[in-house]
Amino acid sequence: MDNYLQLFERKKSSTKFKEGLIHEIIKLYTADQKVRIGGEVITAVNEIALRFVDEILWRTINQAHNEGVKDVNLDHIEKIIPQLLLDFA
Amino acid sequence: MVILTPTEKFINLVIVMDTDHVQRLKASLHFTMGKMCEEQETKTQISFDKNVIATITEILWQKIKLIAEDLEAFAKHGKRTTINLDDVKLLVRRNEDLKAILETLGSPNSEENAKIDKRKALVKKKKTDIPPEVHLDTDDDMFV
Repeated sequence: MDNYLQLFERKKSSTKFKEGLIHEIIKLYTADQKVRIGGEVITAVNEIALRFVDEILWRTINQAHNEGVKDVNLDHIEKIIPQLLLDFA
Repeated sequence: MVILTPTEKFINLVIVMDTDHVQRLKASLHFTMGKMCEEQETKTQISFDKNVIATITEILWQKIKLIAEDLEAFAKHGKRTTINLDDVKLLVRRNEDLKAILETLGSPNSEENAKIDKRKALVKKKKTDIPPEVHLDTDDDMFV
């Protein structure tokens, strides 16, 4: 049984989010304007979001592959969404 | 506990609704999603529909929104105005693998900090040492 991190290295994408993108989005949704965000926090949330997307892509591709279809549809997303949201708290 | 006046609440709501800023951020996110999907397409020969990419963008947007609200609530709970790495660790407490990833994020920094602290301590120690006495050579015998 592969260690999750080993498994993940195989699927990891090389594209990353734009520099301050996640930071900007978080700023939008923090209700209290005085809250400041630590530097390491941005890198941490970047990691989380990156893993989240990799997981979505991997599971939808798996789903489409198992069905023998060459295009990923909304149906595939529907099928993986419940487990994905539960896995990511 | 911050209590916003009805006007402030309205203004906050307007900012977060589909304003230009929000549209640009979503577009940037959408673009990055497109690139990631393209990368997977070349690896696996399975292509993504346009609406699927848009849906993934929306899912990620909502997820980041939830993360932001949670992190802010955690920081407030700790009576702090800055969001810490500890808040993020609390966020991922249910996911073993994310916890492991965040541990690696925390520790390299703490190693560096420990080294920096050691260096600082050494420098301080050198400063408090009594400097060696300086003897000036007075060549009185030259001008006798």
